[in-house]
Amino acid sequence: MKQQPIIEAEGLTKVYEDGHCALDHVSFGVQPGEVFCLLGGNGAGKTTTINIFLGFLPQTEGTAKIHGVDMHADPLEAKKHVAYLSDVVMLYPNFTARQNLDFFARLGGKRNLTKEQYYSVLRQVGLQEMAFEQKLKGFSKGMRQKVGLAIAIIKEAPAIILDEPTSGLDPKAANEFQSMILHLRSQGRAILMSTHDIFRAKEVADTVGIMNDGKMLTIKSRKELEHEDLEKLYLNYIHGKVAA
Amino acid sequence: MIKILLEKELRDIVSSTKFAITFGAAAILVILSFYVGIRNYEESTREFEAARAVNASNVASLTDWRQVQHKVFRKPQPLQVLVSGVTNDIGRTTEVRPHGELTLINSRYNVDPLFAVFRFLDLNFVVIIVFSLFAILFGYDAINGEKESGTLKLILSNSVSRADVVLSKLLGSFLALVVPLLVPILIGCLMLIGFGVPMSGTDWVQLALVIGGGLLCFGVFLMLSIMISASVTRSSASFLFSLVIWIFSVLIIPKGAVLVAAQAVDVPSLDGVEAQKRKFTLGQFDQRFQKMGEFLRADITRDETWSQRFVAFQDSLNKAYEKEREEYYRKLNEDWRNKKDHQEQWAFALSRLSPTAVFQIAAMNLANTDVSLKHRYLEDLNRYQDEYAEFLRKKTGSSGGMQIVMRFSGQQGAQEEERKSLNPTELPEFAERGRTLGETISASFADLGLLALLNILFFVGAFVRFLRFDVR
Amino acid sequence: MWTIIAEKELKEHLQSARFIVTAGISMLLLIASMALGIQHYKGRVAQHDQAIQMMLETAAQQTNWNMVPAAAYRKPDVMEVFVNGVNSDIGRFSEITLMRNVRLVRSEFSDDPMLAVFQFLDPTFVVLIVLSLLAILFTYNAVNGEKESGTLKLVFANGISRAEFILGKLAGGWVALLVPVVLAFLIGGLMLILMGVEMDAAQWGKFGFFVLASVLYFTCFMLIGVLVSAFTGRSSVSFLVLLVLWISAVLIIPKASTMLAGQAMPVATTDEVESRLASFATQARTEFFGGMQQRWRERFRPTEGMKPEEATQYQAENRPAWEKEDQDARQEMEKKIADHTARSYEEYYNQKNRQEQLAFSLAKMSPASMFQLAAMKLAGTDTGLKRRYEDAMKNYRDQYTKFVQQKGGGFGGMRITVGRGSGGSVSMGGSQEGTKIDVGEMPRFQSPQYTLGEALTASLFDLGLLTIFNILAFVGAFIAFLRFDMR
Ligand SMILES: Nc1ncnc2c1ncn2[C@@H]1O[C@H](COP(=O)(O)OP(=O)(O)O)[C@@H](O)[C@H]1O
Ligand SMILES: [Mg+2]
Repeated sequence: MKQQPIIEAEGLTKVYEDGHCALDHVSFGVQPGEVFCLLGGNGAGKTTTINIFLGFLPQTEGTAKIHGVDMHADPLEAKKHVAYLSDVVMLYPNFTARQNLDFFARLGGKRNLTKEQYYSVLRQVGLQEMAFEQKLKGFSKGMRQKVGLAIAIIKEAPAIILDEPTSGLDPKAANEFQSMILHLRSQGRAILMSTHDIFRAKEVADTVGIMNDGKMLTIKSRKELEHEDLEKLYLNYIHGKVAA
Repeated sequence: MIKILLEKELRDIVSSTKFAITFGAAAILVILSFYVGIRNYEESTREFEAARAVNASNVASLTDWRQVQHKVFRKPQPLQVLVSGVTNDIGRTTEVRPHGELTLINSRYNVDPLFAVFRFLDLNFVVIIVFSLFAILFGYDAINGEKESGTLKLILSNSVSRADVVLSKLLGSFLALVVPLLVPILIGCLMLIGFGVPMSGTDWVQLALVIGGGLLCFGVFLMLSIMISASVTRSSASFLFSLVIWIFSVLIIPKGAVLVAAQAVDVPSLDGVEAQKRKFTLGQFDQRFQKMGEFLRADITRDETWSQRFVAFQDSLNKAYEKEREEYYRKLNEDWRNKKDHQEQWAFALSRLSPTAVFQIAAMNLANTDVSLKHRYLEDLNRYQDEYAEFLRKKTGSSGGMQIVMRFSGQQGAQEEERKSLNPTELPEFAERGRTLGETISASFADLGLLALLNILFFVGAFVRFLRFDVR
Repeated sequence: MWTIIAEKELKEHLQSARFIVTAGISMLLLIASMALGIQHYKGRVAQHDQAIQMMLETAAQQTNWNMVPAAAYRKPDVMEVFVNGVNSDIGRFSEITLMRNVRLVRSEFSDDPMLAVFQFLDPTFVVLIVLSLLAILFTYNAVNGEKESGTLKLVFANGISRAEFILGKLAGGWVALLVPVVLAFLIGGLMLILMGVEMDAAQWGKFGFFVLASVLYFTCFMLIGVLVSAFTGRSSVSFLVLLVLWISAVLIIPKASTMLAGQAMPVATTDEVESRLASFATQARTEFFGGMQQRWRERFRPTEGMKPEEATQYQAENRPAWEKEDQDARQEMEKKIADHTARSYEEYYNQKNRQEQLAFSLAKMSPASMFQLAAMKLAGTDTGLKRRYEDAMKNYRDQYTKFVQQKGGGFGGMRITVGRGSGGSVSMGGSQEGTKIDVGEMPRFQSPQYTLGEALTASLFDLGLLTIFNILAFVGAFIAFLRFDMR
């Protein structure tokens, strides 16, 4: 039943200008309807991977493809098929939640959406009604995160890439977020998200890729994980007790 | 795509508190500068008319044209109050004598040092200080600020080319700031009309060019600070950087350039030139004095026409000496002027390192308040002096100059005739020729061009820097 | 406890790029402005000496005091290096003649409009504009920045009072900015010595007080910065507020207030005053000459019937008395003109003083004006400079004209004798044919004294205001922080 993966990394390698090797031949793929979690501590190389997938950073070696399009070769075409939520979500403080959403939606090719459509997406991500028309200046980190997620959803792209989407969310919001992700998965989207939260990863991921020091140590499917304690596994890998 | 980005840019800027505060301040200042300029113009026009009236009544109180101490005054021009340049530093009053070198005295600041303490608030000042600061405040975080807030990545995660992003940034912020600025400027122009300031068509064209130059100057700082924003990762650093550039170009370079040029390029002191002139004139005086004595000893018949002969003799002396003097002075002046020109060229060339100085030089040239105003005005005065001498010759039969007039009592008839008071309207009218629109524009053309060029340069700079900008 | 905060504050500043860049620039600018100022001052001194030298040389060629182009020159003062004030705006010298009133003409800026275009770069300008801007840059996020970075809560998790904290912050920041400024001025002082500029004790004193005024001034802006920072939650807002305050205080209020005063209290222009004076003098002279003509006619009337010898005899007897009468009439006429002139000027200056007082009281809403006025008064380059010199020059004119009259010159010094049928001669009063005059005898113009005491009394009020402003801002900052919402 192997389909063409929507998000596909092949031998991705990144050596920074200072000679630091942040990614070392990382390969993985995310199928439609699959949630792939990049699990790793600070500095493991998660953001670097994601940056390459969005063309923010040229890779040293390997390819990163979205929907079969090489991001490096044709970034504009590739980006048509991907939605993104960045690790820093400040957005435009002078715009209201809806205005922020409107701007990015139109950038993502969604023209002529009605106010109600925006509201419904904002409702979907669990933002309070009263905040819809408020400027983002007064928003808490969690509220901004929700708007960010709404931006990622509204594009209706087959691939969704999320960088640390749950950091800073309260338990209720995190829970809502989780159901959001599952909803998106049920629509057949391919979702790549990074996190250092083992619990969250275990809850939502179909596949978990454990990263450390630029290396993909192992990739385990939900089935494989059912019988194992992810936390123990993670720590074992990190400390090199299990050979990759 | 550009349309969406452009629209966002406009909205983002206009809806910010930063815009509300700074634009409010800038708008108030622009309007204030127009208002103050208009009041100033009215005041100086009133002074000018009053001074002329006093001069006329003084003339009217006299009975002999030879006694007249005729004064002409520099007429206030509407544009001079918007771009004051050096108008307040150089004299306004000239006592016109038929011969001898004319000088300008009673500069505004010399007469009223009170105004020299803080100087005037004119449109030129507002553009230089406030517009440039305004531009920097919006440019410094245009790029790296979006990176810090994460929106740059979000934008670029869509299929938008970087060129589109930076183009809309540059154009959008320029439009978002310049269009609002035009509002107070237009209000100012309406005030000029409303207060009945007599602006000629030429004045309007020149004012429009000054405003255009001001917006170009604004553009230079905007483009420059956006370029810096695209070159430096953190917005706090780019702010500091832009502010330092602002301090240097607005406050330091122009002043420093002139002082450095004044030190480096040597020009003999004007006092030296004046002393040489004085020495020469005194020498002439001695000679003339002896010639007069010779005349008095030689021509000893005191008949009816003697006094006329005496006057005619003095006249011929005057003419000869005046010609000699003029020749000598001209040479001295020209020598000095050449050296001075050289120095000024250096000073202004150096100061053009600063875009605000470029604007100021252009604006002063457009408003005819540049450094050569004094020189031009004196040339006009010299022309008028000839006219005045001619007038006196017609009126008195002598072209004036140093004169000893002898009246023999007993010639009653002649005295009665002279007692009639003078009519000041007979005096030839002094009109400043100034510069034509063409001359004015060609004088400021290079600087306006330079401003436009700087705009393009920094525009391209910002563009290129952004294409290479590290968005991570 | 507060010393720990102060120490941290100082260290934080010293290690920041912001500090290095801005302190470096302000030092550089202060030093450069003083170096340029010293060069320029030397140029001015040379020009002054040369002008006097040339005047004396020309004078030495003359055989007659009437022909001496006497003039009184303003003497450059070292203090101009620090505070140029209105020095370049007012005339550099006045001709000294009997015929004309003293009038300072040919200011440096009118002689050389090139310098007027961008004006002077003196230390006062650097302090006024650059240091105040830097003071704001240092303090705009002093309080709310610590809140934003979360350090404020961390600090107050320890046993430290708010008062101690704010005190430490103020002290640390102040010392950080004080050091480069004072250092720059010390270097400036050293340059003065090394470049061989002579300064007396009073001038060093004035310099010292100028540095003090500068410190008071930028302290003022630091305190305002902290005050605003403690009033607003976000540092981006406090920066904007401070920037607007800065623009108004430094650039707008001073200019606007002089212009307001100018419009509220218009003063007759000098052209009007001078023209009125001139017409008064012309009238007085016409009257005098008319009277003299009248008198001579009267005097000759008795001779009409006489024989020529008798007439000559009669005239010779009476001539001394007649001449004395004429002389008295002339003196009376001159006194009348002089009195009228003095009165008109008195009135003119009174009007001007009132206008100036209004302007400066309005301007003193801004600490920038307080500083600028105090600095100018300390250096003696304030608006009073013109008045002081004009007064001194008027005295000199009296002294000089008396001297020339003693030497036989004076009003209408040219004497023409026209004999009936016997030719005539032209001569100058007081001419000793062929012998040159001795310029050594010429009385010299003495610049008016402006002592340290006078400078201090003049500037005391402004310095006091600045101090009060500092205290108020300090108390304000203190209270604002005590009530600062730390959440
Ligand atoms: N611009 C850069 N230059 C050099 N090294 C970098 C750069 N950016 C990140 N790194 C390094 O690359 C590694 C991976 O960083 P990152 O991908 O951000 O980690 P993560 O997102 O997993 O926390 C880290 O060790 C980091 O220090
Ligand atoms: Mg990361």
